[in-house]
Amino acid sequence: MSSPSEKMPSFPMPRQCPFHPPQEYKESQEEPGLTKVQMWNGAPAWLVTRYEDVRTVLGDRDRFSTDPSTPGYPSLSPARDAVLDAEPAFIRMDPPEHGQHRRMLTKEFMIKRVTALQPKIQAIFDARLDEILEKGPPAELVEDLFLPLTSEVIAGLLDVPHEDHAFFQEQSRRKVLLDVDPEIPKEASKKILDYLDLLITERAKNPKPEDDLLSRLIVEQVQPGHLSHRELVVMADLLLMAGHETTANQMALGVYSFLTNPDQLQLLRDDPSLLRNAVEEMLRFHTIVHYNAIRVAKEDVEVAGQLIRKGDGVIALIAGANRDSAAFENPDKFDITRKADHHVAFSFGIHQCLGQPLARVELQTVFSTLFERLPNLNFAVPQEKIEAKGDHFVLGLQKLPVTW
Amino acid sequence: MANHDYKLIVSVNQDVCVGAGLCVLSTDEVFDQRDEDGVVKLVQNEPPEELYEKVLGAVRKCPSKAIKAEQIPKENKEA
Ligand code: HEM
Ligand code: SF4
Repeated sequence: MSSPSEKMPSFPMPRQCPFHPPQEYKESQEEPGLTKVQMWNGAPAWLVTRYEDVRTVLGDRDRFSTDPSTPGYPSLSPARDAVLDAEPAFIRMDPPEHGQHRRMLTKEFMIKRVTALQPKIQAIFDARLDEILEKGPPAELVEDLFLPLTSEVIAGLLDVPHEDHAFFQEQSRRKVLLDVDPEIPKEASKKILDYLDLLITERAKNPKPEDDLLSRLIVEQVQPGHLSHRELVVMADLLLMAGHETTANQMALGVYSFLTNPDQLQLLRDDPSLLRNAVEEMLRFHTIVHYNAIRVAKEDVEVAGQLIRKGDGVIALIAGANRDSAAFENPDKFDITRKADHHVAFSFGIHQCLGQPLARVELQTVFSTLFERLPNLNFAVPQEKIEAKGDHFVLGLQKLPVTW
Repeated sequence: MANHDYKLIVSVNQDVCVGAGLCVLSTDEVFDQRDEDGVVKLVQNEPPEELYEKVLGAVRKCPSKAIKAEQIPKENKEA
């Protein structure tokens, strides 16, 4: 704790190329121990960049906390703090509360339930794609296809009315901005919570458990007193948020990777059985939720030979881990033939993404259909004009203009 | 066909499972999820040898370390 702060690199670190993690992650992997960095507010934190070390930290539910109110929890930016200051959903809770909340939802996202949803997801996708084909080229796939698809899927589960999708998409977009006036994400958070509060209050008057997830939670958890109305509002916010923005961005980046690696697209065309691998590989390669796995030590603990003191902040860089050559050969290559399913794009440990089965099925639906129905799909502008989102909380593309 | 000199006995800890379903995705011949809460349950605890590799993969991928696969040395008379 005594090293002079001038020596510490600051974090977040800008990317040299928007489609690859900062070079510094790689340098940190090659050095022994952990890298000490400085956050915007001057506080130090440990960077964990190697695959095995990231798994060690994230897999240790007892010694690392994900609760942002724990002293020492690293702050990414004032805007991010404004979001974290709000009431925490279970993604920011430690055991045993975390498990109590998560268990209320695990059956909703289990493999067989989500697999049974595939035809519905396919139908939504096909209908949206039909509209685009009817209008003719060009099209902008993020706004016109991917966000509507992922929003309809999660809103369908929660039974959030169609006419409100644009509202929650816009507020979610504002909520994940890192580098803005904190009032922007703060106000967006409040708007979504107010909206869901009303929706759930109405739903509670006449819940239909056979129809939607919120009704089931009202009947199974709120009415018997396991969960308060407000806790349900916060939980619904997490599901709605985590459920659409992420997956839509992953779809856009997946398309980008295929269009810039035509050999990989050809491989998928020649052998559709590579679909599952391809989806795991795009999750690994892009690791879009790159800043989510932030923790603080609850007691002294050693990782990679480095003593981490109780109260030290720890940033587990899943984007670094997924590009660690000790876990993935030639890790900077987008290669759909590799076995990538041990990636940590959904994190690791007890907070590993609850919605991953849903995200996988949505991605598999898109990438089994898109290039088949639009065999000549290509960018509608020069490739250099395709702009990445930059250092957002969730990586993605600003726009994906295409023609076919 | 892989030949192993041990036998694999699989067990799960339902208290720590977080229901992410990675085990089911990797080896649904061995793992399933309870309908009532999505928690892991075993279809069989002594899987055939051709599934060993997948089961060991599931052990490694399970985010909450809820799966144990014990390697018991085989007796010589093994058929
Ligand atoms: C490509 C899409 C997605 C990616 C890359 C992703 C990534 C992640 C990551 C990295 C975490 C863990 C954060 C941590 O360790 O602190 C997480 C947690 C979570 N995700 Fe996702 N996610 C995706 C899609 C979804 C979807 C579709 C849902 C559906 C509702 C969802 C719901 C959640 C929830 C509820 C948590 C909190 C789990 C917990 O704390 O126990 N995610 N996600
Ligand atoms: S992979 Fe582990 S946590 Fe996930 S369902 Fe299976 S046993 Fe449970």
